[in-house]
Amino acid sequence: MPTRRTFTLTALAAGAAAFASVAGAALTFALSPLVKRRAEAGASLDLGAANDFDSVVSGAAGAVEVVVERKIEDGTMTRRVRERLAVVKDPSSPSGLAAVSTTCTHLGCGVAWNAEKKAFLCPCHGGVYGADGRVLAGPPPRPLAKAPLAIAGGRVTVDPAAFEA
Amino acid sequence: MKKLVAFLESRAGASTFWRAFADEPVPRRHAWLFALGSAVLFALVVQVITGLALALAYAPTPDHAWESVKAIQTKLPAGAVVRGLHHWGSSAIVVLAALHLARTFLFGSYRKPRELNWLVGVALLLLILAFGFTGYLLPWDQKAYWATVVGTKVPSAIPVVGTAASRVMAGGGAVGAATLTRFYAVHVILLPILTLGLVALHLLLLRKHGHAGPTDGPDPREPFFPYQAARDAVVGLAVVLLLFALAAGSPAPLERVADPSDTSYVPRPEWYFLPLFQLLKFFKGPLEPVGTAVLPGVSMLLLALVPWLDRGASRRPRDRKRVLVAGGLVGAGILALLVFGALDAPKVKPKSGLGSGDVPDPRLLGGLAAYERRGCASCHGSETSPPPALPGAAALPPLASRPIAWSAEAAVAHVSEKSPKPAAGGADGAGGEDPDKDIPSLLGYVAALKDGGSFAKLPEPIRVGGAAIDREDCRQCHQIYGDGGRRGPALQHLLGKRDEPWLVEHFKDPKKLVPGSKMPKYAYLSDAELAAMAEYLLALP
Repeated sequence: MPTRRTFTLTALAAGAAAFASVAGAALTFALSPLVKRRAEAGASLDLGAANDFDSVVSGAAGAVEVVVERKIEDGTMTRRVRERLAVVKDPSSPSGLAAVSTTCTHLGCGVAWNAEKKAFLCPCHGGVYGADGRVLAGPPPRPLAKAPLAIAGGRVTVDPAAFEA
Repeated sequence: MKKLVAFLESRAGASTFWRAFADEPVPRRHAWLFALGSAVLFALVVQVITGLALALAYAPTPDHAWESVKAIQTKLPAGAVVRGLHHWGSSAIVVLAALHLARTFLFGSYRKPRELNWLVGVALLLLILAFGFTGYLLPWDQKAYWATVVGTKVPSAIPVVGTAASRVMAGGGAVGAATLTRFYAVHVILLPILTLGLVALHLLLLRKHGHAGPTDGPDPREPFFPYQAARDAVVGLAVVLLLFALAAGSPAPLERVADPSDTSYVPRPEWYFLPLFQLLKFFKGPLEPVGTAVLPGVSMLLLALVPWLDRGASRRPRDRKRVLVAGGLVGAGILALLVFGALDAPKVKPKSGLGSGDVPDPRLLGGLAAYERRGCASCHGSETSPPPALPGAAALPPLASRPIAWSAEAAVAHVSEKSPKPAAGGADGAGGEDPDKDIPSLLGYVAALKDGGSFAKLPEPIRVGGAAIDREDCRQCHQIYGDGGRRGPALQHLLGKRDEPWLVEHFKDPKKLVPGSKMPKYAYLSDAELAAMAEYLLALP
């Protein structure tokens, strides 16, 4: 027979454990964004017709910015979002072209191509990137995200997984 | 009445409680300064009331948040007032809490045995700032979105835990739907519960130890009621009147809806985060965590430890000179950072999403021009004049309030039948192609009118330029507001890169300024129209 003392202590401990598990369940839920979700493969993103980027291929333009709309898994919902990518020359890509993210790697502001300075400039804290996405100046810790472009049937496409945050 | 009082006393101890509450002896000297704490409390009450009202209409999803805030601001009765009070109340709380803290610091009121209440106060200050940070995102306009993109990224530079902290804050790798629901839940559930508890504790501890003036011996006292109660009432009235005046004089802003693809936006935090924002500019590269975490963290820790760092026996300011000078220097430093941050503002004013300050889509302006050209106003009136009475019939209801929804075909047929065709190849350059080419724009304009759009106050060049851009169909090759062809560059962020003379010159002969350009010459348009087009393009965000 348990004594009154052990019974009371056991009951208190069990009650505390019960509430701790409720908090644990809620906390698991709240901390779930720590686990990165894998981007769905296969859904390639259409950036436009191949001749839209003739000026990049010919070297007349260092980068051509395009706004693309795509579906993303965002929290509990699927949403369409608009994003801006820049198409640049890239000898290491089979197609000779690559897409560069316009999200600054420092604090997430949007960078824009400056044709005169031939660089991507960040308006927030002065980050400067070259056409290949490399950091030239300022606080950014990493180069801009970049992915090779595929050209098939006259259309230019990219795998959006490279730009998942 | 007496019976009711006796009943409440015997069942709830109401009279005993009231006597203890009302007869509390409070200092007679510096009594108005002691009312600062009450001012914070009153501002908090305003936030609770207005916040509850806003929550009745607000929808925390990216697809609807901005729309619901715009509806609160423009459509709901008293919506603009309620939102204005909440907007200005958030700033007022920060100011009043800072003053209350300065008073407490100056008087040394945190000395033994009141250390715990100082800690509770510091925790409440942090909660107020957390309210500000989470509330800022909710309107989901450009300012909200980009400030939160930066705000949630700031911790990621901290070694080891930074990335995880950033992901938990944002609810994932990027600011989106998950961030919005997270911030909303924290703003309206978690923070209010914590604040309520800590405010109750703050008041309980205050009543346990009493007020502490800047003296050592016993200071003259008087009962809380009616003396301090009357002062508190005056302070509360002043706070509410001030907030009403601010809400009426300067409505809460709402910029354009958040657009992650707009790379020209320079985010600005709310003014009370400017000191932190400014620190970010001083510490770069590997030193960044010093500005984002170490300095703010150490400052908060020092603030919390003030009662243990300043342990002398006397509360008189003249005996605490070193502490007061140190505290004054820190306060001055924070103020200096605030001022530098404010002076560092971007030169381009952000565009308002509330109508008149916005640059409408060229299609709507083309529609407005078509509306005028086709003489629609002779039956339907215009934005500025009501529909005229028709011969032998009553005046038509204004289009904006017309409840009838036509199918697109019926509307096109109506416009085509009722209005005279623009002369083919006319002086306005409408072209000799399809005379009804402008009808889709016209219908878009009417739909925008019904949506509450207002175009009458737009500057002349914006209207003329936008209409010309629509008529000449620049969107065949250029994107405007993310819509259009991609043969040419998107027409955006031109301000600062091009000026009006350059653009006009370029319209007339593109190849001259951009070798290899495939754009046709627009020299056949009038100089006035070309200048208006340039002005329109430069005004685009």
